[in-house]
Amino acid sequence: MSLWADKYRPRSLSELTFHPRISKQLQVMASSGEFPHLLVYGPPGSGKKTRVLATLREIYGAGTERLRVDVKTFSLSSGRKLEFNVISSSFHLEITPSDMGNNDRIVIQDLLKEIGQTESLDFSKFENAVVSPNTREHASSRKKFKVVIINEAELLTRDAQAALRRTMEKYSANIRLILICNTTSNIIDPIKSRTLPIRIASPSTSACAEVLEMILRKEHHARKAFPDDSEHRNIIFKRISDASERNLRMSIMMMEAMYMNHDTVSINTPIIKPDWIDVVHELATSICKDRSVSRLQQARSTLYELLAHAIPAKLLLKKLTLTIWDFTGALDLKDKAELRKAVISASTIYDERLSLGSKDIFHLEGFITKVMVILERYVVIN
Amino acid sequence: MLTSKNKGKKVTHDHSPSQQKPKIQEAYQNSSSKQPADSKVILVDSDDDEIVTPQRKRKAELIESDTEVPVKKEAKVLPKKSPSKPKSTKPQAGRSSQPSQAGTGETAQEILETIPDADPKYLEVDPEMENMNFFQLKARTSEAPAPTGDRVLPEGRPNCLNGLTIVFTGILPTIDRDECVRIASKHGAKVTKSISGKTSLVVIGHEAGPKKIKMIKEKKIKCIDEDGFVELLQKMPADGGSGEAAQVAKAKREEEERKAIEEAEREEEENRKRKDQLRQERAGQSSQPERPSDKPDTEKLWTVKYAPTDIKQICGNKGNVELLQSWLEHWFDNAKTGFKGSGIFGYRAVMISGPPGIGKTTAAHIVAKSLGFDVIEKNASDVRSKKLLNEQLRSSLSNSSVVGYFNQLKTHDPNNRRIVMIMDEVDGMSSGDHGGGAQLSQFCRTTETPLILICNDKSLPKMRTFDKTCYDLTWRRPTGKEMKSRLMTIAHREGLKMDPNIIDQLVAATNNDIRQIINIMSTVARTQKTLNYENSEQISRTWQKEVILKPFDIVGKLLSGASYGSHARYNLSEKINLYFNDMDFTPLMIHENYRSTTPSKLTGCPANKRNLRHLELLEEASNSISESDLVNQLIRGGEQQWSLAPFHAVLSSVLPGSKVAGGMNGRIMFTSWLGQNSKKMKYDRILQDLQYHSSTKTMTNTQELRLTYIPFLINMLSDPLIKNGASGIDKVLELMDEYYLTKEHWDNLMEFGVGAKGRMDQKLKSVSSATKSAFTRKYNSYSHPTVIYKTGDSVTKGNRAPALKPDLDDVIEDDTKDVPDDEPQEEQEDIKNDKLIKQVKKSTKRRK
Repeated sequence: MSLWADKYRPRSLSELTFHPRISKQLQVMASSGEFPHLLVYGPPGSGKKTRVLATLREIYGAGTERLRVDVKTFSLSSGRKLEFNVISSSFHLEITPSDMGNNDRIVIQDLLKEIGQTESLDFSKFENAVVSPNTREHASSRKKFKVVIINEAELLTRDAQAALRRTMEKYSANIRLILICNTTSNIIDPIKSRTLPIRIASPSTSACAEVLEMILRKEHHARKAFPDDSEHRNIIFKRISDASERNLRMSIMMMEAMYMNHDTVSINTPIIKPDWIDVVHELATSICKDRSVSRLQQARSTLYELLAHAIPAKLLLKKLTLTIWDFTGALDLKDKAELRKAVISASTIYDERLSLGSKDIFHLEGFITKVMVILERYVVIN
Repeated sequence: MLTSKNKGKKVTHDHSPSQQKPKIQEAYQNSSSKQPADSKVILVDSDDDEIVTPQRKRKAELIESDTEVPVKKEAKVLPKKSPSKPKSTKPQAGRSSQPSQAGTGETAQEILETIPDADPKYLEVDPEMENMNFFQLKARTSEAPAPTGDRVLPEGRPNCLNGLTIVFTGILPTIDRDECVRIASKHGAKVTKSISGKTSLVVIGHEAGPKKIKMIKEKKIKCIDEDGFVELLQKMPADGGSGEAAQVAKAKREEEERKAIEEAEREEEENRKRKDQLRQERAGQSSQPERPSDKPDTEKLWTVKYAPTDIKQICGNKGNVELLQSWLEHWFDNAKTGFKGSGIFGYRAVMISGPPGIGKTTAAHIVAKSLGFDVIEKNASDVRSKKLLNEQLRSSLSNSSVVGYFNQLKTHDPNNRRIVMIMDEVDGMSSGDHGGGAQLSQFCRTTETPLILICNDKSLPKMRTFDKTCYDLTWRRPTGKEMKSRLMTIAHREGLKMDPNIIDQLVAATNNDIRQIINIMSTVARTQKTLNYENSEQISRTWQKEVILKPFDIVGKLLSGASYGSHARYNLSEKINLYFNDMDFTPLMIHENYRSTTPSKLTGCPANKRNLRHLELLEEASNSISESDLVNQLIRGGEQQWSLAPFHAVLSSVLPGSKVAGGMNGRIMFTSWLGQNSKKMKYDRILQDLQYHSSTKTMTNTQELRLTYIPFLINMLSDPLIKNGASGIDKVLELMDEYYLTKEHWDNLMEFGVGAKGRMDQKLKSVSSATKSAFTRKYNSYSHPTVIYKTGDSVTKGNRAPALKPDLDDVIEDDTKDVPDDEPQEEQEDIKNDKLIKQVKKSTKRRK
């Protein structure tokens, strides 16, 4: 029993429902046998990885689904040993160099070179020869290279990216890179120019609803809990996809959680959001409503709790800003626009500081205090 | 009401010392007036016939230039000083040139009469406060505006408050209370905390405690406000005038001095006798080489020269010393009975602990010597590893003294053959002394010789081994009072003139370190012959720098209102230096505490804007703290630009401090950033581990795993247990196996909930312990699929499933082996036998 989000993950390009144009392009590319380095980017829950894996399956066949995790050991110049996990099949491997923090350059240098310098032997030739000697004969010629998927490419340090740029050209005969990231803003230009960028946007609300509907069709038990009326179902799906900000993975999780927690789901059933979203929302609202020193003190403990539990500071800042933005939008003030502009401007300043600095709490608190001052000043003046 | 004073006072500094006195008074008179400054002021002043015209003109300008000065009319009430009064009994050097109109013969009482009583509003008790308890009162006082700190107390004549007992209560409008206390005691007053019959006056501010006010009213004690105190300081003649109390106090002080001198003479006499004796003894055997201890005194350090030679000379810790003495005296009697006694008499060894420089080692030696014991001392300069202790110490612990044996022939005292072992600097036993601590503690149980251990900090973890084996004697820092006579004696013997009042100051500057005070004295004695207020200030400041402040003290100083403003206690560079006392902790501590002050900048802010103003100040501070982090990154990051450190000091500590400085609400807290940061590291590590295990299934990155999967996984993995109890176990285990999660992961996952709704610890309490143990049992009963072999802790944890190692050929296959049930020992075997990774998926197949 796995989660629906994993259970109903499409395995082939043809199963993918939304962004048909991209799926088509990938299919063409896969069948041509040659493809360039790829830079796949887009918001979370839009199906980047799913698409990439489906493409690999298209090229290499089902062998790409037999995955294992290896622990590779690297030694630094200082003599310290570092462990690094690599997920691999016999056709591709998947790495997350940002796990290594500042040492990601070593992974890029050592691991990629090692793979790049070895020609991959093609077992499938024999395999295919046994199974079906004719059908896949020509396929063997296009499997000369291994594919390396680099996750969280936006978190690569400058050093690692610099190490990557030459490797990409030098060993292109043996490896193809697929970089997956949420935004390209941290990727240096030389890398962008060496890759084919593919942006995967979040699915539209209707595409989201379509997927959810498809899952319900397959889950017979769950189907019964949801209303029969397709109109009503669509309203629920829309609420879910709005709440998840069109993050498909989150949408499916939310639907499953709704089903798990309620015997019957109606259009009024509350949507179950991840706990941290509720906490951030509560924090932002309380800041807007109660602008006092004691509130600041409480905000500190909440922020500490969120940060300690591995919620990224930048995401916190973004969520806080958006909630405050919504809150100020509902205010009845005469120069509301000015006020909202001030909030956004403060947010951008502290966003930069989060990137440059190292103590997240300093900057988040600075932002919260600044917002309180902006709001309080407007309230006192009006 | 006294805001103008600074201006007036500042200007007076420009004049020659001889004119200074009347000018200061003038300035104060004017500034304490209540009318706006205009021509009227000059009219008021023209009554004062003491003032010479050119000066007056200048002063008039001065006041006119500051039109906001509030002026009070009663200023005239000040009594005119008659120059005919007798001179101070002990005119101090450098002061004698002062104009003598300051009435030196008046008694304190007379002068007090002339000072107006405090505004009766101070004595009104807020009915609310009457019923408050201590903590409520404390909270209330911390809310009150803190002193602005923009006024500096004038210098009075030396010892001018002699014989007065002063109580400060409430919050004074402009001066920090600690500062007042310092000034008052510097001038010879006795400052107490509570009001009694002996109290001569009370200096009162607002928010004074209701009890104190009641006492004041009952005892009818003279009560003045801050202005009155300033006035008093200026008017009181040297040595507290001729009042009875002042005379008594003076007599007492002289008595003290006389005693010190007597003591000094007595000591010198003894010294001479001893030397004579030695010389006589030596006469017969003159061929003997000179021993180092016979060096003339002038070549010795003062701390050696004046080291106590007698129990009576030890400053402070009298009780402890006596206890130690009686313990040592009865040690061998107790040894016969097997140490059955109570308290200290039940121990074979004693641990003396206390800060450096307060005479621990000295006391131990003197006590031993006074009873005639021979001393073996080991300190940090000796290697004290387990092996060496065994070799050297064990043998000596049951020995007797050879020197003592020969002495005994003369004296017939049994103690002379006995040894006392002193282990000094026990906490200095370092990594080189491997196992020494434990071994020493073993000796403490069995020793045949009295053992005295000495250390600085008993609370260290490595000292815990001695907790049970030694009796603990804690040495306290001797107070200034206890040191006074000893120090005076030394000063007299060296011909150094020392003002008794400054001992307190030196004590504060050195943190009650008597050894350091003696060192200071010996340094001063090289260049000058007096140690009084004029140079002690500077001396103590130079020496104070040697003390490295603790983060709490640094923050206390940086966030105190008196540190900023036009009359700041520290200038910018001194404040930066405060940061450098501990540049790692100061920024963190400032960040922790900058919001718990009541900024003095809020004083005078209208109530409706107070909150906004406070937030604005905090915003400026937090902005600066945030910027300081970027600078910190330049310093400690890749660029290593350490020259930016002073800039970081300003941004991270001084600037935020300057915004929010004021009274602290509550205690100074230790930084929570360190704890939170290590917590974050821990959760990051757990998250990474979860990601490694589940990544083949979830196909996502760490961040998405945290944000999307974990909140839902927590619910799915706990709900069946919470709702269905034991029958939900299978469902949970199935899901866990699907994602390759172990029981340890399950425990870790449950800690990831945030917020009141998300936290799992409360929710999981509803799961019965029977269900929990059934869950664990069930989990352990069969082996689970793993995708990953991780070196390290896989076997050590009892509850964990055996981690399985993939074969060298990367073979993945179904585990066909039967797994033994439910028994931990067999699990251990499992690991040895089964190296193959096991997959439950049907898709896995054998490949070679």
